[in-house]
Amino acid sequence: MDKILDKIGDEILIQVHPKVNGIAALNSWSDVLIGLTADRYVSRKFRLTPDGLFYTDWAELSNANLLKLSELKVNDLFCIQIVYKRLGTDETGVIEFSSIDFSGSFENKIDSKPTVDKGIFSGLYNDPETESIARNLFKKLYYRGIIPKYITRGDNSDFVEDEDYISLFSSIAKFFALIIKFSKRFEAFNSDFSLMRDNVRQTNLYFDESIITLPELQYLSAFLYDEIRKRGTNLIFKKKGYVLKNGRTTEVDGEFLRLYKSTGMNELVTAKLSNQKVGWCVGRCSPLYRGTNEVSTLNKTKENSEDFVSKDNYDITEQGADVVILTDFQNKKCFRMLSNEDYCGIGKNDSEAGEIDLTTINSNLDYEITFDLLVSHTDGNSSLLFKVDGFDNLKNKMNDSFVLPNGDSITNEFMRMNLGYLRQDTWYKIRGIIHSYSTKNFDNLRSGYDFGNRLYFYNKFVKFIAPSVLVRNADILIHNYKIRPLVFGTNILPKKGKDVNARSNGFIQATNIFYMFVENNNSGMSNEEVNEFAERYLLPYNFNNIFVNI
Amino acid sequence: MKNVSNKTITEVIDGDLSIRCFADLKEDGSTNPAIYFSEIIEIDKQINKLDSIDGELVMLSEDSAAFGLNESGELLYDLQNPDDNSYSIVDGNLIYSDQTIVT
Repeated sequence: MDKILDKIGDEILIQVHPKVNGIAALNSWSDVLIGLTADRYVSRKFRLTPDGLFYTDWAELSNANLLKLSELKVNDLFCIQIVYKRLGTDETGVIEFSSIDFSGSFENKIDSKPTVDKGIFSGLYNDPETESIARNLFKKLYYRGIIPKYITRGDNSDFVEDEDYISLFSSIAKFFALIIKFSKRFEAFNSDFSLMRDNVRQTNLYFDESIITLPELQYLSAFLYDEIRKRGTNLIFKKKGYVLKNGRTTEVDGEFLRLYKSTGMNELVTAKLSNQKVGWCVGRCSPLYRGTNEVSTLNKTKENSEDFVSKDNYDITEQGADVVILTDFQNKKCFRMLSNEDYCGIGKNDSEAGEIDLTTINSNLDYEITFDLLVSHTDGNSSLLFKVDGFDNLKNKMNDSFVLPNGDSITNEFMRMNLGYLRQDTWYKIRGIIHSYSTKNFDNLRSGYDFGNRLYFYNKFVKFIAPSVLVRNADILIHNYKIRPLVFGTNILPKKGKDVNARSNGFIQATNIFYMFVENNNSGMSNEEVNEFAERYLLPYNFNNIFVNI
Repeated sequence: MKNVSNKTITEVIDGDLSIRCFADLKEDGSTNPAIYFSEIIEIDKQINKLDSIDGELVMLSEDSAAFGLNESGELLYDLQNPDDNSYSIVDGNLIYSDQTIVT
């Protein structure tokens, strides 16, 4: 062990490297040594260097000697060296060093050079690398090699003795260090943030200058043509870390995400509408209907198909014999929820953060949660619980997330119904609607069959939702489970102080409609500006783009 | 002369300088724990040149990639074996072996 003094006369060296940069003064010390006795003790010597160049003379470690060293202009190379030597007459046992503390005063002091800061060396004067180069240059000028010997200095490496020489040549070293540091930017421009930022700026790729990092700039610069090739494809919507088909992982967010500063906390859902969902198409699209027409890709669950693909894509509640099974029924892949006693189904009955996958939403948008339901078997106590929980940005469950349309009571339940009311072996379409925050209150705003509730967002800070479809004492089938915006627009009901914002696609006489529900977090650009940039540079030219800025 | 392996924590509170240096070499030859300082700040101070304010959690490690925050604001630490098995959370305190380093 390096901290043990075994024998009389043994010495250990402690090199203390305090991390401070400014003017320091030390006035006292204390240490902890294990094994000291009257006959087994140590002597302590110390010296220090404020800048890694000039050391003080060795002296006994005492408060008086520390106080003599006032106004130390210290930098990253500040070092205090202490040598412990074992003394005494007792040759048994060991002395173990544990710790040493110093106390004193400190003043932050950064050299301010207005003349330098106004020129091309701005920001370089106090740069650690400039300091390092200056120290290195000064050593070359101070010790033998460059300056003739007849200019006497350096015999004792003593600051006081060579003060005039040090003052002159340290200034020269600093000046040349500034020039070298400035030039080095161009020697390795790839590792210079501001040069790389200027380089990428000129490419017209969009990036957020306030949060972009040097590695991201290096990536954008190195893969410039790849980034351009991503335009017009869905790769502009992919998050950092997405694995491309060539096996390479993207190291920056897609350009659309960068433009809108969209994170995993922000709503972004897009869909290209098939032609049958545009114009006037019987049973598919009507000029009088402003709903989202079950556009399959306008969906926030993990599966866009009407059929279920895997249970792994959902949070499933199962207990004992109460299970959820992926099964084929009438050429549909459905979830069969088979309950004899307890709730089972999609979602959790008592969901808490961390337990479940949450769906990102924006409380300024209307949503619908839909599924098809077929009842196979019920008994007198069969019930279906269809509800939704809300969570804040820290994924904490919020108990005041939703309220009834008349504002009477807070609830998270769309319906809790006795399944005995439904005909067996008949498909029912179930839809839970959440209206946006601040929607005007209405009495008697009921669902189609006069049971169940519509909900309003009651708390604008709801950032995530977790719907649940749970059944008890019944055997049912669920198919085509989706979460999506309710209307093409933001709200189908008037909001307090705002009108309805929902439109039909029935009058659109165009193909290739591309709908985007997106939050614009780019405080430097208006909705019109980001939409125009996206339309001009990011989205395919043959698309007719419709933005719903939330 | 033996050179003692150590770690140093430098704090500045309202102009008062405090330097604490402690030996860190263990009998097994390691210098664990990798996270050697952790404190929820109650008084504004500078710790190892890092300005910190009331309420912030400051952690010092020899490995800059040892811990970080994810998008949800959760603190993650990623330490190399065998050190990673030495940490545990008991009643909200991060424990290193039998030594409390976070309260």
